[in-house]
Amino acid sequence: MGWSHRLRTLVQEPIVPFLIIGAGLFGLQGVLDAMAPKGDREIVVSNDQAVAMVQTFARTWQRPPSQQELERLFDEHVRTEVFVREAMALGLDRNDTIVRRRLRQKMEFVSHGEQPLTPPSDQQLQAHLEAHPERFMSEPRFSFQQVFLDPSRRGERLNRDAEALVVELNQADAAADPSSLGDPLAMASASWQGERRSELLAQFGTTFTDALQQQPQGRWVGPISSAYGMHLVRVSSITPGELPPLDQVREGVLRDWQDVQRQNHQESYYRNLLARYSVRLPQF
Amino acid sequence: MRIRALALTGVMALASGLSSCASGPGTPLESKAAASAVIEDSQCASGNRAYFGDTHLHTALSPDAGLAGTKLGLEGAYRFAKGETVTSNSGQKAALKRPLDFLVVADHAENLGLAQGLADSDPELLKSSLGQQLNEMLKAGQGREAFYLLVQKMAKGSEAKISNESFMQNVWKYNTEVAERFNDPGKFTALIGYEWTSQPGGGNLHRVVVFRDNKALADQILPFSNFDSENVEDLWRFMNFYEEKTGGRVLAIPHNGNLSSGTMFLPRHQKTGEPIDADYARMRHRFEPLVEVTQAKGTGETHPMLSPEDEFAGFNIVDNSNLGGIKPTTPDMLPYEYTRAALRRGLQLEQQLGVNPFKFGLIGSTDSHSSLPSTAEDNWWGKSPALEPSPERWKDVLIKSSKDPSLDLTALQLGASGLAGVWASGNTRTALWDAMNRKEVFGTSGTRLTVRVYGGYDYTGDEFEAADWAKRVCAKGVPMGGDLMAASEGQIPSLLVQARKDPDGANLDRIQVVKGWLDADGETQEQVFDVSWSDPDQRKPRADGKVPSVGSSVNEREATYTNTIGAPTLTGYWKDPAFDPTQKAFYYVRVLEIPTPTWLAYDRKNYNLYDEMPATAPYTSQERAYTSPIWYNPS
Repeated sequence: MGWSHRLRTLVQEPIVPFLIIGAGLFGLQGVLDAMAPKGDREIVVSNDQAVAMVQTFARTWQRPPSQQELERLFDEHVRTEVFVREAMALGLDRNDTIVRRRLRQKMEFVSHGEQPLTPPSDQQLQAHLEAHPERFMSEPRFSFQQVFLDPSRRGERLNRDAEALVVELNQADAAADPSSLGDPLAMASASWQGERRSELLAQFGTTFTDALQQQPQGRWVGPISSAYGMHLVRVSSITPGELPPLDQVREGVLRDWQDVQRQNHQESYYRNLLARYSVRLPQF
Repeated sequence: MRIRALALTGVMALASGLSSCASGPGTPLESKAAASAVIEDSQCASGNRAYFGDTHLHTALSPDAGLAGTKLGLEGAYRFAKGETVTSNSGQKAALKRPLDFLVVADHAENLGLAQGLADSDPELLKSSLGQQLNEMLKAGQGREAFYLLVQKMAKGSEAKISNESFMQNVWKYNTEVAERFNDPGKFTALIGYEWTSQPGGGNLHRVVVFRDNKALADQILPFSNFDSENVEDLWRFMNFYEEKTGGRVLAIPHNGNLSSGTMFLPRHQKTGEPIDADYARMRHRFEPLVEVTQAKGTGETHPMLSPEDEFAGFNIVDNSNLGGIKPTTPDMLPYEYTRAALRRGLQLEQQLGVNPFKFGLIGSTDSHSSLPSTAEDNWWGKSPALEPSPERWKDVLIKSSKDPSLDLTALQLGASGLAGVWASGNTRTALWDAMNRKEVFGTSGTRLTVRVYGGYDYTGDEFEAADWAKRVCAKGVPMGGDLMAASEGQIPSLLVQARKDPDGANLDRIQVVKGWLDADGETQEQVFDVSWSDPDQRKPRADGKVPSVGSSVNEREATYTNTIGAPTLTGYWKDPAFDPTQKAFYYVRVLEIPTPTWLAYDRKNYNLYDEMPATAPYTSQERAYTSPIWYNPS
């Protein structure tokens, strides 16, 4: 709790470091103000703005600003305002991709702030979990044996060898010791028990792992290919991934739920703004 | 004097650490357990599996990353490393194609957690006058100026210190707490670590400090920072202090030496400039078993000027300046920046001092400052937030020189580089750390190709037939990182190498052995040997002994290649043809892939930048792996 909790919340809060940089680049309020009608030569610091400045100062220093400090805050604000307006008038923002992108990001972040932060109920989280099973499923697990056949050694004989070996293995069935057959592929065991899919991807690559999933169980089949060559395999079981109970994945579901809320909020914020414009696009 | 003060600080931290957790189940002082675990996990005990990870990742807690716009913190970094999809700093969905097995978050110890602390107007930070000043600047909307002010101060050393002990303690405990939460033995390892960021005069002497231990031990100290001392010998003393007090273990990994102005491997005491002595050599040998041979900011294996005979020496060379962008690199600096030259010098120093200070293994890591450790050319999330995928990132300047634009470090120079491969007996903190400490590791330019090498006197080259060849050959020799005993009459060392391509990546071109030795005149020499290669029927060695190029299947414009050339696996048996049993030597292995497109080629294609991006940028490269050496010592 306490400090580390606050820090964690802050680190998760995307707007904070951005604001630090962004504030330095143009001053958020200044940018928003400067988007007001052009040709406006009047700079007004409203009471609300002044109160906000004083509050920020007071939060930082645990006391209100002195007269001199207040003047300095106003001066900084006006200075930024003047430069931003002049920059906008010169069109300095328009062709600068980076400024444009930052402005867009800033607007998107601004929309975050307006989002109410009501924590979801268990039912909402449970519904979210069930609506997006692919994000929370546990990994499938594979139990199988494999015999490697090295194409560079066997060349043209490979398919013939494979066929013969499959027959031999199936006849010997349980008596077969696959580790004594085929060609060496160091770092790859002959026998795998309950291995996670991600581990197989790391060891054999995507092609093999995907193919393994399609194989019948209980007998030797193949060859199927991997990044390294061909394999005869005997799958004994594949345990599919399953949707864990909410309590096991609560933290992840909550995070994901919040992400989705944020995106939805952002999208509707954009749609509302968009509704104020008429858009014409070229016909292709 | 400085050390005494430090030790005192440490003792105080220790005392408070002990009192706060003495009753808990994780009570420290487990030195006996730690020691026995080290013994159990000895050479030849490593499994049949190389674990891939990053030992050098920065998050928003690093002041430079945080102020430069990195929003993802520790959790984001771990989640991304474990394979989850996260929202990147620039608001894009980011995910690895394959998760990492382990991660060391190595945030800068200096002002750790500053950006968040300032944003939060943390009262501890406001106790420092610089903290007040920066905070005031931030509140007044001068964030960028604040950042530059801090950078200026950093260059002058301890002037930049803002965080106090109490602030640092909070951040450090938060750091170790998150590591603890994401550490998942067997599946994913979160090793506790940080970065000591010494750069006198702008020369990069940074070290990543990696703990073998859990939170209970690591919390007993505070990270030793450049503010405590910029002298590496003081860092080692502090590491020694940590080990003695806690019974834990810790190692340090020097960064890429290419930005060090010729100081990373300079055999002189930092403080006095005097030649190093045996004490220095012993400390360095003990606490720095590894060096980061490649990362985004350059590859430090060797330089074409140092290895003119090595046709593959010019890989990802970044060396116009030092890290500060202050001092141009001159040829006399190169021998003290590159690992091969340092390994050679180590043989000489061992002759003089009795200990080899540069007896290190090789790894790669990212040094990414965006919380996104990625190294795939077609899925590179950059080195900083500004280098996340975008049509503009190729134009970015990572480090802008205050003196001369020719000293800038530009995006065009960067590589999507740096992975650490570790031959450990399991995916746990202790197993990985022990393997690192015994140098049973290799570094890659980002590919997940695996390579293993054993050295011994009794190999015949037929060993590969056995399914468990690694265990068998290890019993008759030593793995990478090991030492060969003195040869007896008629014995000649040989190496057995096995390399497997990245299962979802490019085929292999060749296996090479790099030999360095100390000749009868006391000079060091080097030679690169081609050991095995794809299509040996077509590719016959030329008169100079070198194997012709593998060719290229890259279509740079389309950023594609095919695996129609090269080989998925290669094995090599090599017997030293010029072995002299009286001469000290080392051997390490380099494995090259066939050419593939670089991240620049993918960007050019994906963002349709054919008219904008320079035609001369590197759009093709041959990714590679370097193993730790095996040393031969006649005495």
